[in-house]
Amino acid sequence: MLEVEKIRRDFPILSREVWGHSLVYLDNAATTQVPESVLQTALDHYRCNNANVHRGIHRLSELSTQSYEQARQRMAGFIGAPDDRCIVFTRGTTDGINMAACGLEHLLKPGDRIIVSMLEHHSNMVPWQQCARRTGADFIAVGLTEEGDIDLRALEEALVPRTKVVAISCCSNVLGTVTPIERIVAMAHEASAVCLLDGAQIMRHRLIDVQAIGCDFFAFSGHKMMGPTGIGVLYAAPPVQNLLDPCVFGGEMVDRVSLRETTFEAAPLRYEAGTPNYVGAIMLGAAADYLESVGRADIAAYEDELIAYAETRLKGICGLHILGNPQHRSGCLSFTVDHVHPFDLCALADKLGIALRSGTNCAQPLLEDVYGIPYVSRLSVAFYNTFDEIDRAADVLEQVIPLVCQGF
Amino acid sequence: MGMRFPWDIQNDIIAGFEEAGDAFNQFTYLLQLASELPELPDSFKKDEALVPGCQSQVWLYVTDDNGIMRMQGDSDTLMVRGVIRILASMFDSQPIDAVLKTRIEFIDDTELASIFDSKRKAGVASIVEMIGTVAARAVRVDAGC
Repeated sequence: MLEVEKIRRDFPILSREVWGHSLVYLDNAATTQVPESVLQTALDHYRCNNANVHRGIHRLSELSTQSYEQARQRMAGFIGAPDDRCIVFTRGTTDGINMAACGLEHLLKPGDRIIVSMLEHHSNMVPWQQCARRTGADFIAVGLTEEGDIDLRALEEALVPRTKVVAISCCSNVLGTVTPIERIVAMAHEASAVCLLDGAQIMRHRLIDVQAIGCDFFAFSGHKMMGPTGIGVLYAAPPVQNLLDPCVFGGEMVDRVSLRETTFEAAPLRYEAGTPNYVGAIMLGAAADYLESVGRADIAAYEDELIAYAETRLKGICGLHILGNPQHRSGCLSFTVDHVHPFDLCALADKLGIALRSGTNCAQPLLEDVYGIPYVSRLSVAFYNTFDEIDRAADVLEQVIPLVCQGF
Repeated sequence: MGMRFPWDIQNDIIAGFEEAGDAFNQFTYLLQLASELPELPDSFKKDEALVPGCQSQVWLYVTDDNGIMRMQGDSDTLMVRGVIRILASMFDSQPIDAVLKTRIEFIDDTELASIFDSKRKAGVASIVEMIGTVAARAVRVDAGC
């Protein structure tokens, strides 16, 4: 059982006001807030142990490197990876997926196939689309059911023998759909395809054990699990590490460099060119510790209760339509309101302290091709939100909808 | 009563925002202004009339009618309709040289400066730029350039 009020004290930003009203922060699918313990980690590092990593022989460099590599080990444990060589620190999910798409490109020939789904965020769609364009591979986006789940029959049909890559989201940043990743990985492997999972939205909603799930690649971001921006992880399972070419070159990822040729470090360093965001990585490790201390299963259960309650409250608002009705929804829901532009609605709700998201949510094919709309409003929760905050948001929406209704 | 120039109309508008009070009430005042803008017929909402650089869809017609500015427009969002209403009330049927003399102050001198995010401000700047371009071109034509 979460002690939400106690948790909220770990996040001082939650007690600030916006426009003279208490902040109700419901844009967690965009980014989560950072607890004091994680912020303190950065301060401590910069105050006591800061030096560039992997490059110096002096004490501070050694301490800084140790902290960085301990964070790598920490993240390996957090997602159940076999060892820390599987953990590549990235700038975030987008960076990790691009790294995978670029690194696997050499496997693809004209007529091969890459499969994504219509649920995908642009960051797990566009890199593969562009990879297909460069290689002549087919690029297929598998459709959804009426409820907003991935159509597994359509996926089965799409998995032709020449399928090389299947890249699927674990949890939609628009519908909140939680996808059956174990099943999808099994289907991909049966077709001898490599499977990448986009874990950006799932990290607070279930325990991730990449070995049990069986995926080849798993990408996620720090800033959606109470860590800082600018850091994430790409997990690469040991059997596929040799398949992934490095695509960014420079210092740190090289072994020997001459004018004639260059040899590269082993994984994971071969994928980490330049000075890494080592403070970000250390903060990410601290964020993982924080989530463990609160209780990952409790977090997942509470957030599911919150979003279910939000769905109930919003369904009661006349003219408001929630997108999708998936078998399992976590983290967020998106909605439209008759004759109301999402920009107007969310801009006005903001003036009463309610932070919602409006726009395409980086999912234009999902919105336009599946739902026939250009924009939505989105409400996304985290475990520091309360049921009272959901009530407040719903009350504000009821209050402002008549003010932004067009033409009626 | 003499002619009211764009800056006089703008001053009244700024006073209206100040009277509205806090950010929420200033925003609802903007929405009220939006409701006063005559709706553009659908046939006018062509792609060629879209103002580039706006996140909302903005259709704008700005022309020089023998030294008098004519302006009408519309948007798919109420907040930008409100801005169009303000600009139209300031500039429609005004002499071009009065348009050119007017500094746009209703954003910076009201809560709109903080209400509008950077994308919205960029969109408003695009609308104002279009008005300025038509006005400047009219002056050059007049001067025989």
